[in-house]
Amino acid sequence: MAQTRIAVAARKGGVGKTSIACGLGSVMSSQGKKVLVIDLDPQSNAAYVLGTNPTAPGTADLLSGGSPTPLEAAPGLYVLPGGPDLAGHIIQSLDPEDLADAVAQMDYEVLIFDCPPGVEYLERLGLVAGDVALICTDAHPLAVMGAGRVINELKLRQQKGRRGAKRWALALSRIDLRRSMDQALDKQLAATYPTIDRLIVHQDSAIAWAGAERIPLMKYDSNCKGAKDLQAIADWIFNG
Amino acid sequence: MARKRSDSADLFAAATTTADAIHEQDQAVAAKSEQERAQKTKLPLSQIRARETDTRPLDPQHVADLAESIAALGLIEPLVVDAKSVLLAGGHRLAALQALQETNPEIYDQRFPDGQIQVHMLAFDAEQEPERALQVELAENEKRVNYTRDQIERLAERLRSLNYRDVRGRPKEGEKALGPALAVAIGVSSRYVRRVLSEQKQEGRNEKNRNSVPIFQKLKLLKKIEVALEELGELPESEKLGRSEKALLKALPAFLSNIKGSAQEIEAFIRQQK
Repeated sequence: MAQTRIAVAARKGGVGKTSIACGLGSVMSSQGKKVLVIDLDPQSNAAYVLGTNPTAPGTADLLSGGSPTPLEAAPGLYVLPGGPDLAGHIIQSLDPEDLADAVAQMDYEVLIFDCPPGVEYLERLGLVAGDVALICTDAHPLAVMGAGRVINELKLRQQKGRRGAKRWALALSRIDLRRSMDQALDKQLAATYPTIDRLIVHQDSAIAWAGAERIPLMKYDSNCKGAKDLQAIADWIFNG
Repeated sequence: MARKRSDSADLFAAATTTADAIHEQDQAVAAKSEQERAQKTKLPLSQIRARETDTRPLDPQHVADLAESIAALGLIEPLVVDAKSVLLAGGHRLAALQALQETNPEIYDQRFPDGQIQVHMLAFDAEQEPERALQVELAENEKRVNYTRDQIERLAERLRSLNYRDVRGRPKEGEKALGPALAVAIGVSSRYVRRVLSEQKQEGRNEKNRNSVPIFQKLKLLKKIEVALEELGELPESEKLGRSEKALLKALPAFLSNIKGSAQEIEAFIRQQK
């Protein structure tokens, strides 16, 4: 089965990676795809927001050579939880390509890697395993700085011909164009990264509520603005 | 009054510039961690990749013996792999591990509860440096110096004192199998060890080894003490003598003569025996 592998990263924390990764998973599974969200975050938020058990064996187990059973969050939507084991010595010493190898034979049409904030070696596993990357940023210079570092890493890998995402876009999260910072963000990113597509996820409390109530976004409110934005991102991923 | 805000565009520009600056540090850290990965000490069995060119065929009996010893003791010598987890040395051990996992998964899980195998990872790529890989493989093989039979027996003695027993088949509760442990320790087959040990037993019965008779041992030790004491007496005296040392000096002549006397008595006794 051909896999679409999406890395969602930001380097900065709290800019919407998990919301976008899980929301996107919900959107794609509602389109009939079989989707697995792989959480690379020691905080193990992805399984939580999707309403499954965040302490079940997950990504760390997979990376240690095990074969954990993904948890089903909704029809066609599965998740491998993150967890503190991801910060262990064995995971830290993995080759950046090990996750890519571990998921190559998995029976899913879409794999979404929810990268952690800050922890570069875990983020790198996701960026190398993905063939598409979404770099999340909100309208704050610190988030832009984090996104810049991810972009630089992706570029460098590509220049060196190393395995990893070949195509990436910026996902601007929690955008409210009534705010001057948010208006300036899009312009600034367009000027600094003229060749990188910018995808916008508007400020939408439905996304926040779905996570807090632990219900996949499409089940929570399939007509919300956030779901529409994420559908556009899914479209960009599948159709370029 | 509210502070006048700067132009947001400038703020973002400063952030993207900083991102570029930090990127250099990111790269340095990534390079360092790449290097540190060479110090990996454990790998899942499935991730240890076989050599592309096997320079030496596996001896199935040796593999079976090793599997037996790994079951008894775990893996004592880690496998040697290159930076990409390709096996450099330990082909028999790897085959034995695979055999054990297949034939006796229960024991295997007991020995390797986290599924991780101890490895010694060397920081080079065998594909890039095949000659070095070969050298490592050969060096590892050469390390199996031929232990003399006496050395083997002495090792066996030490293991026996640690509750290892020469038994065929499964050792009882609390006991450990001597043969396999010894075989792994010195890198020979457990069959060879059994042969050496049984020969040693026979020898022990038939002709007495001088070193194994207590009286010869005693004589040897007495002579050693005599030499050491004489040497001590010839050393120049310390400038400030402590109480103990004073007492020792005083007692030395009498003690030395007792040592010499004992040695002579034993020698006389041995002559009488002959």
